[in-house]
Amino acid sequence: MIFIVVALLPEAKPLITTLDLKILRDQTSFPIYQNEKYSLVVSGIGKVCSAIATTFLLTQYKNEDRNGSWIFNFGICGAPKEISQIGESFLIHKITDRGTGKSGYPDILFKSSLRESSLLTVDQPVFENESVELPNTLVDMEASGFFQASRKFFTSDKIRIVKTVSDHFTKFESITKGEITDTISMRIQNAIPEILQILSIPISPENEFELRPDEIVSLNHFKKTLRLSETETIQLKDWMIGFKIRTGKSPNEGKTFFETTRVSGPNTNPVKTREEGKKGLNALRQFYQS
Amino acid sequence: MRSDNFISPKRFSHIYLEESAKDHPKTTEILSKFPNSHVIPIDSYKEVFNPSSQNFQTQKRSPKLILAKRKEQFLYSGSGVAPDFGYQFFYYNALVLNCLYNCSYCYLQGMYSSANLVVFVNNEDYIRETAEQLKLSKPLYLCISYDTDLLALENTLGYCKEWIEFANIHPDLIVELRTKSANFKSIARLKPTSNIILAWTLSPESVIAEHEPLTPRLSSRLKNIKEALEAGWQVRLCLDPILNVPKWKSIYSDFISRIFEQIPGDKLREISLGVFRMNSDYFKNSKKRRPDSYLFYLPMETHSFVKSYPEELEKEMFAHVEKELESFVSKEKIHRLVASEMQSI
Repeated sequence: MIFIVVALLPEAKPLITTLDLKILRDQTSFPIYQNEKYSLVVSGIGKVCSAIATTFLLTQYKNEDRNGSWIFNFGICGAPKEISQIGESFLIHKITDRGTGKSGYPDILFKSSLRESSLLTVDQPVFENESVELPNTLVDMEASGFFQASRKFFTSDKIRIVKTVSDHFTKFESITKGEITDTISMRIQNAIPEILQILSIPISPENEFELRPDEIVSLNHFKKTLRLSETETIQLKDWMIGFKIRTGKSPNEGKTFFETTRVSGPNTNPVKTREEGKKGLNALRQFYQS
Repeated sequence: MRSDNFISPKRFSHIYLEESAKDHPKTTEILSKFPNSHVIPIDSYKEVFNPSSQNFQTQKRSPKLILAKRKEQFLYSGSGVAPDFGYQFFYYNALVLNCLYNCSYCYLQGMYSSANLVVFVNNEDYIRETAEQLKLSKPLYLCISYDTDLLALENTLGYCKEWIEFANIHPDLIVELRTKSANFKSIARLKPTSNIILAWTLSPESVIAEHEPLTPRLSSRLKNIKEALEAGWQVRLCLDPILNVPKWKSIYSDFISRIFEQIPGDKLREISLGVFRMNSDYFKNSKKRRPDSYLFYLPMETHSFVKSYPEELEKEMFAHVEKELESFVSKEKIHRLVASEMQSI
């Protein structure tokens, strides 16, 4: 699953349409749009809202298989004229929270054609006359909250941020709210190819060696038959995984060995004494580690 | 499977630059070698290197460089899991944290949460501190390539040259430069210095292929060793760690024969032997980060917070390897590092 956090509906709309996401019918604290591959939440403005919505989304789907999952934040930002023209999109490699002074660093381990930039997250909108006090960088109101919350769930290689410059800290006094909404949507609509480019880059898969369900059945069989303690069961599981990695074979082979050499006789009844159990466990250890 | 989108490991696509290091001449020198990298200013290397929410193995696919200035602790007392070769004053330093390579048995993956490389640019402070310590402790045995591989990084950093030149004028300083690289050429033009020990870690070719990805092949390392010996350098071979791989006896026998087909044993300063061992906390972390390596699932014993093979196996491994070595080098030159006699750091 790819999780997406966006501040405003006008920012989210072009991507919702492009990815054909459907709103969840459940009444949730934050609107969620999704299909089988993406879950998008609309957080509202500000770093606190972004952090809460991120946590909400990831907690809502905590049972999803996280291998292959990652999280993405995109939206509009302001920028000084000298560093960007309006409409340009940036991949963010550093986020600084203006309030705390703390910075976070998404790991960029992939190639993309987007320009990269650092980003400053502020608590209040910044306009032309105030922007001179800021570092010469992109400015938004959400990313630090998003990043801080995401890091509780994902490592920094699984967090990506793209920001599209919507203005040079201009105050839109003469245009209506509707026009502002349309302008935001238009900026993001134009940035959809860049957003899709970043969305299409897979994260690095993690190697995980776990027992398959049928191998867990074997483990439970040993546990029951040998009357193993929890600690002994964890040890046995470790030997079974080691066997699987080392030989490439299924640890179910130990079951055949176990049945043919069983210390307690050729039946499936549990052993009568702990000593018999330990003897059986030791035989399995030798099988899996030899 | 490797995605084509991942940046090549040696390119350092991003360089994090600590504020205190930005005006240092070594920083300028290093940055000039990576003109296409993104340079990202940071307040302290710790804000990038220390956070726990990093994926060590994923970062190994595209490690970044962090340039920083060391403010204190330019020398450490030697670790109990490393050999002191009988020197009373045994120290190591940390000029670089982390290594370009990615060996499956490496303790660094259990020690650090990040796979990015931290380079401390103020080598002159390390040298000054060592000179001060030398006034108090002679002879001083110093490992400078301990939590990294400095020779592998020589083309970027030039630190080996600076230390060789320093050792040239301080005969009471014995410097060990440990490496798996095949980069002898980067120091080949320097005057061989008797108090600099080039210590090459060697493993059988099949072990290199399976457990030491990104390191040079055995043949390349042997070629380098031969060149170093011919030029008059002090060379130590480190057969360390000896691993409990399937058919280890025949693999290590063939390996030792192969070494001495090319290397004259009598020219070597010594050979250091050690079986796999690791601080038990690092072992636990490494096992999590290397779920694909069976090395962490082999039978182990723990003595004084050091995980290693069962004592019987360790003895058998030492006895076997020593017997093979004794056909080529005198017994006095072989040093064992016994895991059960070690103290963890």
